[in-house]
Amino acid sequence: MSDITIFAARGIITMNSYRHDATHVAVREGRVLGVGDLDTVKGFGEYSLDDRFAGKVLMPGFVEGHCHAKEGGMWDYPYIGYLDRRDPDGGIWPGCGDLQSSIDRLISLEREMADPDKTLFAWGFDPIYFNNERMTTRHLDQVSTTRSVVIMHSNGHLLNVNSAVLGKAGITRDTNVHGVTKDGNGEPTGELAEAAAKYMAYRVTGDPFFGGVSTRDLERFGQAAVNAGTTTATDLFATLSDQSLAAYRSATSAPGYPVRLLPAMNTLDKPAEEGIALLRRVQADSSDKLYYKLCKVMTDGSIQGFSGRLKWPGYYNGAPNGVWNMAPEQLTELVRAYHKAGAHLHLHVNGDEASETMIDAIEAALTETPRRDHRHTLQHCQMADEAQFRRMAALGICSNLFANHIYYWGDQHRDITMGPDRAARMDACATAARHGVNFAIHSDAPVTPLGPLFTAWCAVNRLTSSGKVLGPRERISVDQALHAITLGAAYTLKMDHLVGSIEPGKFADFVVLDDDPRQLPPETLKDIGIWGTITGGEPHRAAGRKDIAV
Amino acid sequence: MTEGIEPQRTEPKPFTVIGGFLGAGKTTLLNRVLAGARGPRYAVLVNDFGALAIDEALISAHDGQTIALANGCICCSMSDGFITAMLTLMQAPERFDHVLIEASGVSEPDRIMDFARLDPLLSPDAILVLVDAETLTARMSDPKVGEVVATQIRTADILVLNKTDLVSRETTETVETSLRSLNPTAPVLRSAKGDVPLNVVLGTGLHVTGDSRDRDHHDHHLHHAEEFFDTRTFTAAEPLDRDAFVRFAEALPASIIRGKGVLVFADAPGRAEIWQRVGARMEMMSRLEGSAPDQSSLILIATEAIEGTGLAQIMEAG
Repeated sequence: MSDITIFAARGIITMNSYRHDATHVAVREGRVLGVGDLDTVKGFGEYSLDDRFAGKVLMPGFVEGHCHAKEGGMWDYPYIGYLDRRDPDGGIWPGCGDLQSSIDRLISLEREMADPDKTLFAWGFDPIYFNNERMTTRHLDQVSTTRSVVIMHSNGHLLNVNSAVLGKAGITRDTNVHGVTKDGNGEPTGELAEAAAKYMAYRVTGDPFFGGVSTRDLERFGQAAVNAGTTTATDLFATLSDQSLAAYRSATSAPGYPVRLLPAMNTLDKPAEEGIALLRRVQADSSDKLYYKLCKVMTDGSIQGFSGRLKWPGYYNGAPNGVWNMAPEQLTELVRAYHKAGAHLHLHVNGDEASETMIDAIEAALTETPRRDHRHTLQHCQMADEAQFRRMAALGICSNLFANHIYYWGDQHRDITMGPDRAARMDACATAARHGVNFAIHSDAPVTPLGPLFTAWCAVNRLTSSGKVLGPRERISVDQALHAITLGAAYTLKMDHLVGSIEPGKFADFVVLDDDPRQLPPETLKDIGIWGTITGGEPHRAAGRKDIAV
Repeated sequence: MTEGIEPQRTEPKPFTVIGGFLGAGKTTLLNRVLAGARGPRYAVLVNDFGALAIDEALISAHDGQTIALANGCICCSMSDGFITAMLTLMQAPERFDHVLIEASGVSEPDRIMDFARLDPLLSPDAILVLVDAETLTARMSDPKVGEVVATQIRTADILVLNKTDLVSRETTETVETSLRSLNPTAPVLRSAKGDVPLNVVLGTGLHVTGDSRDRDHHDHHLHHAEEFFDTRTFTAAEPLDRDAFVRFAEALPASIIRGKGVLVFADAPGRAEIWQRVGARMEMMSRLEGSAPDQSSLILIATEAIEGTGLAQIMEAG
């Protein structure tokens, strides 16, 4: 058999600049030999023609610049969120349209559990969709009055527990600490908001995510990536413990692992010189599927959690300003030290005070240690204003905007957190494009589902979950959005020489689509079927697809 | 674990939060605690090990997230998150006698103290907030951090005004005035290089057994930097009148920084009750029936001389 495979497709969107469209791509040793029509690519020698995808459209595999491998681990526990969600095996978890249907799902799950001492964990709940009707022990005690029941909210910050957990944790009407929510009669409702309250629940139930990322999480994450057409993805907050390093190594070195993974090392938990040394040491583990190069800096919290750091005039509803994860001067010092060492920084900034503080920090670092092409990237960057984008352009800073927020929380941002004016310029893709700031768009999975086509749909249409357009001037074209989920994201990861477009020398990483996104109405972008992916020339079928055998 | 918190076999462990913004001297204080610890085995939770100056010769084991010292103390890293560090620590509560938390410069110490308010194996001791006399005024007016610095000061039980050797007397006065306006009840201890007496800030040495044969503790006066500390123990053989004690305790002067009592009251002669004061905050806890000692004992640490001899006498005098 020949070592050259030529894939034939109904259409190939190359995303390279010299030949936009093609029908054939030749692959050898996992890399692209050439792309064009058959005549253009057949001259390298004997080949086998693979026409399984002759009815499909190929694009460069999508690049998710901000997600977490925990997306794989979450599915060890049932999902009870408002919107439909697909697990890595392709199973559809229908959204729970109201509070009672969440409870009904938990009741039936509880009945299937054999061991009465096992805690029932579930995730994805978000009361923001139920006019803020809160879940209470009254609901969860319908599930069980004896078994521990713990519900994680979709924001990852709140828990709900049943009376059994409150009882074991000793939380009563007399408990007087932050984050134990109480009803009008002074009784705890079972909603636990702050660290201490959540700690006490986990003390009696165990923490389901204790111990960090596992090989199994990463395998499940790989399948989730295939389902979403993604061939390069980050794990954008990684603790590089011996255990997680072993998990990354074993998962990504298994034959046929379908995704190129970039863990981003947490920088806040150790002095900069230790982090820099650790990063250099683990780089020996890098491979074609595993890249240790990114460093993550967490600055503030989230907008919908009112913990993002905002400039004047602050939160629309008058909530106090958010929280720093570390003092701004320490964050500035981290940026200085890592920049000086040549590291590539990805900085979590939600509020505009956070983004401005980090732009200031990068500017100072660049003044001290000039470096071209650093590609430090502001992640989320949801509230940056036009002046900040002008500075980002001048300083060579990239942004990765949280377009999915427009759909998932856009209504709440307009009505509660930011008000109609500032909400219209959240996740300002068009402004980034206008000022020449390289940008990507992301899901932050598992916060929202992994799915670059959906994320592109959000950036193109800016529709909230109630169907209203939020900030029409910040909508971008389908072409711009497709760039953001391929080359745009690859550029923020310094992977654009390897992935993000189909051209000679790059990895043969493709997504296999049922249709050409440019030929369909923009509002249908999210509905385009994904057969699966091809990574390094090897096809991987999405869970639930029966057509075309691998 | 599914059976809830294991039944208590021992007294809850004191839990002290050491807060304060960058440069206030938290790490210096912790280094002193770790180097000088004799007796109580501290579990010290820190943001990272890098800033600690632990003598290599003192380290008996290092497993990545925990360092065990020859003097019985352990240091735990919070790099996997505070909740994880606390869950890990509390899996082996027999390993330590007292928990010290180094709060990060931007955290709110009062929210950290909630861990001890909730966990029956822990008992809230004190929120100690260190303040850098040199930089406080600038920090307070910084829009990015002023509010969190103020919150730290407001929730302190004891304030340590540190680095007073680096500023003029006028600056110290000005800073102390702003501390008092934010937190009128917490005592303010001045210090240079964090050299506050550890028994004052951590409450070590407040051993009151209530047993009249226990002669281990001795009253003493301690001159320390600019502060004068008086530590006195009072006893009473007869059970106390509860109302009289409460009136006495509530009227104690602000100069009393810490106090601890093992008390027997006439209305409940069969059991001991533990009274504790940290800064201006007081609380009373009951011990089990049948554990009553043969006398009441009370120990007080104050910044001014405490007059009187017996407990009954000072109660009447108060």
